[in-house]
Amino acid sequence: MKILRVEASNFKNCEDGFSIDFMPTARKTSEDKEYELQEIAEELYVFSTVGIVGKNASGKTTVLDLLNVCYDILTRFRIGKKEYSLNGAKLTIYFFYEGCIYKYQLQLNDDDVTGIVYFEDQIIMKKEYYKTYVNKIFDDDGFEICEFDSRLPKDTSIAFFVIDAIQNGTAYIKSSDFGPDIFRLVFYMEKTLKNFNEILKKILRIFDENISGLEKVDENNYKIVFDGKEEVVSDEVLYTRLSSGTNKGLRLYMFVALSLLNGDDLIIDEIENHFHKTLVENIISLYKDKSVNKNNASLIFTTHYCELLDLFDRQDNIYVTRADSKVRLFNMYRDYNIRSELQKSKQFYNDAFNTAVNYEALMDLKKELRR
Amino acid sequence: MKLLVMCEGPNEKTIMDLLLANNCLAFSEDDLLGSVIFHARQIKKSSLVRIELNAYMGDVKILRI
Repeated sequence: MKILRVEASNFKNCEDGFSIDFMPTARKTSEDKEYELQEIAEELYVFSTVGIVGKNASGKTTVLDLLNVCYDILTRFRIGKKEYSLNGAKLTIYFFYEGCIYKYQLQLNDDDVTGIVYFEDQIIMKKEYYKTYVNKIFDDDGFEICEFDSRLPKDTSIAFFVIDAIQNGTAYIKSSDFGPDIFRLVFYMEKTLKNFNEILKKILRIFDENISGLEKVDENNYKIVFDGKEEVVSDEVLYTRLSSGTNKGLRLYMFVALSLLNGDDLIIDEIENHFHKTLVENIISLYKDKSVNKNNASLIFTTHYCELLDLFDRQDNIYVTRADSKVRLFNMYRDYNIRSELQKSKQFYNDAFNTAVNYEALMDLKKELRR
Repeated sequence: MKLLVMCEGPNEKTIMDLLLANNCLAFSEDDLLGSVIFHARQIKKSSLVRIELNAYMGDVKILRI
């Protein structure tokens, strides 16, 4: 299953008709097809990586929250309790699954007390994918409403009738810290990752060469080999023993490994958080390299680090968020006239996307601190 | 030192990948920058090549196919 487009109204603070695309609109070169795009069906391409940039409080995380809700619906068929209200949110999700294009319209309502999210006014439409119609796949022509004989509880999406088995799904890595729970999360992957121990060892080597082994003893205790010495420690001690970068890197790289091996999309908020630039670049490169990314996983991330945009060979997979009274999303290719030979980061610093930090506000603070 | 192998097109890359996989070249995967053969015409237009060049600090010899 691959999401191709999401449209939303009344979702958090997004403007009505908010929309994000995962299919290329600009010309595709043979190099793009090798690295920047994935062919999920003949002539049907989606992005390997999608970057979302914008200044603070412009709605980057809101976009990721929206995508996370959509992935929850299509992979788990339910939406877990959120820290924000979904009441009245109307979504249209276009996705590709087993040779067909689906258009899924729904409205969400949540119960304030229980936090249960209910699905209402659900319609799923379907049409077969043919490469000759690749430029018209979002057109209403050809879509037919899917009829289902059975009924489901109101907190379960009818996408279950189409996809019929819970998918591995998508991980959403928020910028907030997990605390010692990181290790429980990492070792949970032991069940799903074939070469878990080897991957874990190699990731630890990237972040801290003094650690030559890490094993789970029980739910709360771990055996660590640090500087050649073996020791059993609790998760809390382990969390303080490892550096903040190692803890975060371990969590992030394990999710990257899981995503690449299973072909699941990965959503990361503030990818540069705690990380050396080379490591962030490396994560992006893993998704572009088809010898590693064999199962069409996509990486979707937000960043304040606009130099990362220079690692994108295309413009249509870069989105810029802006917020005044509502959050709005702009596509770098569709909505800005940026010459492709110009460095994207320079354009960012030149405020071509209206994302510059408010200089007057900075000076106001400086003056206040001088008093 | 690492070798940066840049192929002009996808066909050249496919052939080079096959030769590499079957040990028909004078170098192995370990000798390659990024452990792969690239489909890239120009360094400055290939983000993947630039990422690998940023990560590797040693000398690089370029082979164009």
